[in-house]
Formats: sequence, structure tokens, C-alpha cells
Amino acid sequence: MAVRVDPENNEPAALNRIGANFEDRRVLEVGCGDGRLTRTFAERARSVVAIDPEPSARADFVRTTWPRHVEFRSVGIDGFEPADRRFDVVLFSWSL
Amino acid sequence: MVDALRRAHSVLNSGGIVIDIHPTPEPAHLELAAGSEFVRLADRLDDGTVSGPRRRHMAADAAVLACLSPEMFNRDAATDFTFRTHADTVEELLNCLDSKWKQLHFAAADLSRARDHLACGDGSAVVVTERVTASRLVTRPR
Repeated sequence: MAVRVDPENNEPAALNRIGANFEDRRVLEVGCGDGRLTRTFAERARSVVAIDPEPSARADFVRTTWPRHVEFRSVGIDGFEPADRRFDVVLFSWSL
Repeated sequence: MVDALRRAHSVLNSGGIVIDIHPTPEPAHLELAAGSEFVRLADRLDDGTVSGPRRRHMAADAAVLACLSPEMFNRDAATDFTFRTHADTVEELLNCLDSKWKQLHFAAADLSRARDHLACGDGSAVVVTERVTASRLVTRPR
């Protein structure tokens, strides 16, 4: 059997407790990795820019078929160029 | 880390929020799970260097505190939770750690003890358990 990550769903419960609302929000996710956390909110968000500078992250992330409003960039927050975009939520996914 | 939070602040709309999830400095540990029971086997190895897990997680805590100011963020909610990764074999767990958590290591003797327990075939799983903190930081109106 595969490795089971947070089968108790403690992480989404904690996000609910602190009022992390992604509904119709423009989200920048920093350190998205393979998209484990992205999958929990992507459908509800208005748009998601998921960034991660790790070389393996792109290959891991694109294994999932994402909605069109989700995009991945191989960059860290320090090199991220948002142009004129602004976000409603910045999510640091275990990346500080 | 403070720079990362400053950068986040600069790309947020007025009233936007940061959600930060990072492990607490409490050491991740190895457990055996049988049903809903968890038995602690060992703590992770940590060399105590700046890049080691404990120091890094303490730095993340400090960075969040440093950004609580009238010009940056107000922390309006925070909670801690337990985050577990279960595997049926030590080898599955080590493969996962190798690909996801390069700085998380356990002593060979502790892993051997876990293998011995799992060999009993009583439906146990080997588990890495971490304490994690989640915070909601709200930007001050600009």
C-alpha cells in the first residue's frame, strides 16, 4: 500500500479553524511541491499561481491534471515577478 | 524568511491574507500505529546546525513574529496540529523521506526496531509525526 499523508485530515481541519478561505480568491502558493495542498483548494479558487524553485517540483506538479485557472512557475518567492497581478491570499506551504 | 514575508506583503491586495504552515521546533518523531493507538519509538536526528530542522523552524517562527507590525501584518488566527505520514514498511517510509524531507533522518537502530515490530504482522504501520503550526496574517489597510 502507498504512503498515506495526513489520513486524519488534520491539516485541512486546521486551515478551517484559522479561517483560511480560498473561495473565489486569487491565490499565490509558495512552495507548492507536488501540489498536495494545492489539490485541496484549487477547485474553489478563482485563480492559483503555484510556485516552487525545486528542480523536481515541476515534474511532480504536472502529474496532476489541473483546472485551467491553475498555473505553475519554477521560481521562488524572491524571484517571482507578478507583473501587475495582485493576490488575495499568499499561502506558504511548509516553505518559510 | 522575513524577506519572503515582505515579498508576500508586496504582492497582496489591501486586506489580503497570508496563510503560513510550517512545522514547530518540536522534533518530528517515529511512531508505530495500530488502529487508533500510536506508540512513540524515537525522535528524528538533528545536527543542530542553522540548516537543521529545529533551527530552521525556530527561524520561521521568528520571521512571522518580526512581521507583526502596523506596516505589515496582524496575526488574527493561529493553531497547532499533528501531521502524520503513515507507511506499511520502513522502506516505503524511507523512500518518501528521501524524496520529500531530505533533512529528516532517524537512527538506524530505531528503524531496525520499527522493522522488527512490523515483522510481527499485526497490521501496524510506521508513522512520522510532526507538530505543525498554521497562522493567518492579515495585511493592514493601505
